[in-house]
Amino acid sequence: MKRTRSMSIASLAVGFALVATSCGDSKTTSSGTGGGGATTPAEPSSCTTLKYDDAPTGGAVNDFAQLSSAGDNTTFDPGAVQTLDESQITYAMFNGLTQFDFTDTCKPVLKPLVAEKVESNSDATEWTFTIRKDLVFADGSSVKPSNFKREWERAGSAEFASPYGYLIAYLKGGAALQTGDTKDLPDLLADDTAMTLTVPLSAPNADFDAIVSHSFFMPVADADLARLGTTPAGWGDKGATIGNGAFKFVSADAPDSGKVVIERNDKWTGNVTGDTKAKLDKITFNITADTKTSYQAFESGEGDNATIPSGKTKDATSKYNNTTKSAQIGSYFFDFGFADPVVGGDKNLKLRQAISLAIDRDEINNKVYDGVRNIPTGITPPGIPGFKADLCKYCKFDKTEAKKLYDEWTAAGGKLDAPLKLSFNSGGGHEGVVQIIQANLKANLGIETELNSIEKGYFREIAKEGACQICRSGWFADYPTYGNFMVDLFGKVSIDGNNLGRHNDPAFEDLIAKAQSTVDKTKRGELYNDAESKLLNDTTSAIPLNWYVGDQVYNDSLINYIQPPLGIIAWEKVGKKK
Amino acid sequence: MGIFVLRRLWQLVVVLLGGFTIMFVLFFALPDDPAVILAGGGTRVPPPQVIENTRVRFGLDKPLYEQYLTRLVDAVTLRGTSFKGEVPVRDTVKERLPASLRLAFWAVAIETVVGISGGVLSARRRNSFSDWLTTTAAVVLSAIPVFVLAYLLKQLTGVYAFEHDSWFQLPTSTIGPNEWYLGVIPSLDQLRYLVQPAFVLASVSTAVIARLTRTTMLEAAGSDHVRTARAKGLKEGQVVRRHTLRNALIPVVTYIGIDVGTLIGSAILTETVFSWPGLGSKIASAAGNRDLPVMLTLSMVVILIYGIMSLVVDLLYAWLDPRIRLEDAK
Repeated sequence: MKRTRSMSIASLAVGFALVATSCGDSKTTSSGTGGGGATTPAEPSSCTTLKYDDAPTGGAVNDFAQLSSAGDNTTFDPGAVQTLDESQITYAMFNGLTQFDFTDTCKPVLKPLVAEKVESNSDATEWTFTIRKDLVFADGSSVKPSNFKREWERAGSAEFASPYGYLIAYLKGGAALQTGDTKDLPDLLADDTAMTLTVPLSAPNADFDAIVSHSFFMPVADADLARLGTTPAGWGDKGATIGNGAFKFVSADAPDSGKVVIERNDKWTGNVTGDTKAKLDKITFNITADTKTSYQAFESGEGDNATIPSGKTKDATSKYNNTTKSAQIGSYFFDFGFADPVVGGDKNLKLRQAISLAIDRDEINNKVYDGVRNIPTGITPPGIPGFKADLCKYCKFDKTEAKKLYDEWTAAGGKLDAPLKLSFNSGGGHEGVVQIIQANLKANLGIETELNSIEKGYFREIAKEGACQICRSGWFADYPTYGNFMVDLFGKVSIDGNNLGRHNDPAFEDLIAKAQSTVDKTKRGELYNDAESKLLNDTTSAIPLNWYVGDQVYNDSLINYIQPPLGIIAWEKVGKKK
Repeated sequence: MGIFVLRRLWQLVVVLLGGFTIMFVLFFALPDDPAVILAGGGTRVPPPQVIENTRVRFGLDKPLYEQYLTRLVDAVTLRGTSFKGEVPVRDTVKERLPASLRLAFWAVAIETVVGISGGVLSARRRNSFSDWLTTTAAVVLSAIPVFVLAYLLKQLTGVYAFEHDSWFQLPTSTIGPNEWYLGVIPSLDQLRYLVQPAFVLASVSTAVIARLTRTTMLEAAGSDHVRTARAKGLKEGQVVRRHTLRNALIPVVTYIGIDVGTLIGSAILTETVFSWPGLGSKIASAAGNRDLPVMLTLSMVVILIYGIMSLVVDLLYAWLDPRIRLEDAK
């Protein structure tokens, strides 16, 4: 009797423990039965006007949101920083030639920042930046054109081996610098007297003024350049730390434990939205091993903010009023193998269109993402200059139209002899998504699919020829340009790279080439719109599923804690209630 | 005895080299190209030149035998540099090893005191309420996964305590101020950060030791020499301490000895959940991030600790059991 009772109590305790840990981690699957008829694509509810309140000067933030995946931390040196988390520190400490004003999140405006004037020649093959004369780094040394030239030569060098080193290839001579054939960029002219930086490009690029807003192109102080040379950057003071941004570096513990501390930089002169001084005295970025640990620290009152762990969004939203639900410039989609014999080519266009229409994006959003993501109307999300809503005709759930197109395809001789392969990387939370797609296709079109989970080296494997039939992709913009989506994800130049479906359409290539060399922003946007429309409608080469949103929670004491579309918090605006 | 120790140390060198070689081979046998992972290939396809530059940067372009020798020398001399963050491995060892040793020390202290006491109590009061309580607690502690226990504890002492303004609120993560006296004695503030991870880390082992002690005590209690001691009129306490417990402790000491190595080098879950900067979690993340220098060096440190603890356990045997000393002397 005693043994039975003790075992019962033990079983109850274990059961309780298991239930407690399963809270918020549900990823349900679908039976595949969606609603009837068509659903109208939603207006992008992600378009807002960012409003910042007056915040008092002073106070400190104890951050648990940014560095909550300790294993990913490598550096916040601007030439080598990789992750969005580390970039929060980089962008707080460094400013670039230009900066986006995201006040209207769907119509961002690129403005000069460290440059006071930005000009290009008529075909966008050469850019000239006139640098402001009054700017200094945190150590008091002047920000000069040569700081840019020397930093770009450092960051783009083979020896430095930056993960973003390929960006230097935009510049004339950049490719040779990347391969180590040269040690500098002789055509890049930095005139410290005239305060001009003249940048010849390797090919026309009308987006270059936006590209230089990326951290890779930010300046580094003379003292850091002398200290570091082209030695690969590491954590803390093993990378550049003397910046020209709103905050200055104080200290950093190990990359996977402890904290990073930055303080207000009183030598900073301001940003593109009129701020001239950071509100906070200090920010402490705490490093934790995973997001669940940091979220628990936030819930325990130890921190001012945290990243919301997967599956906890409903809990966080209901318990705390303050979550950063703003739209981000990230897109989640699936590629079709462009040359795949089963789904690719002109003869299978109606099959692809049918598949895209048969997927219930609302169901995926509700069941996998707690309803927080935005339903897309294209690949390129709002927040990208030139964005146009409702580009995609097949990004809605319409099982009637889907069936009609599928029947037309089969009537014309189309036949599936084997299940279609849905490929995705395991461990990234995509299992719920593909299960819903699988159920939708079966229920709405009678199409059988097999789930192909790839555990190791997914992106490299799926980018190989013949590997992608229908494959998971996703992208968070490095910098807010249309080309960062169209060229980097679907351009021929990106085959064997991030163009996972190996999309290769001459008409599309023609449009993006014209866009890249068109200086007029409006016309450039229209050309990219045409390219995206061709991609999604004329060839239906991808299936957009959702657009990313912010994923952080913060307590009531913080003011102006907003994640703009690029995901980088405007730390200079953040304040603490007294 | 001296020859015995020397022989064991020599064996340890062989084990170290073998462990190093296995880890090295495994690193390159894994399906992914480490240069791709290190170039940011976890979320995108890095351009080929970026991958090649990364390969050269980390010396992964050199012949394998050359990498093997270089890494071996670096590991032995602690001269390597982490692939992630360019941190000297020596600094990582300096940070992580003391943190692991301190946490393991207190976990061993808890499991030894609580586990042995519980086992002795359980054995002496067999089939009583306290026996039942101890047994049930042991079953529950060994059944609950460590990370579940950690999560529940943090919910109670962190989230719940904060929301109810309770006196028993404890920090939920990190090592805290890292203040210690005589190497292992925490300051009062440090104690607040230590108590939960130490308890969680000790939980399963405490349960095992309690059950093991109970069993061995009951076995020893039934032996002839114990019956003789009682017949001689010794007090029960003396019988337990001098005759029963000493014999019963031999397998317990073996378990604790092996456990020390595990607690120092394999406390991955506890260290991760509490963000305690220990060796286990660092080795695990280094393996996932393809950080070869860290993986190799820290693994060798852990193997070394295992080997030394194994030797200490064997020497303790000799102290506990005079027959072993006499055999050695012969």
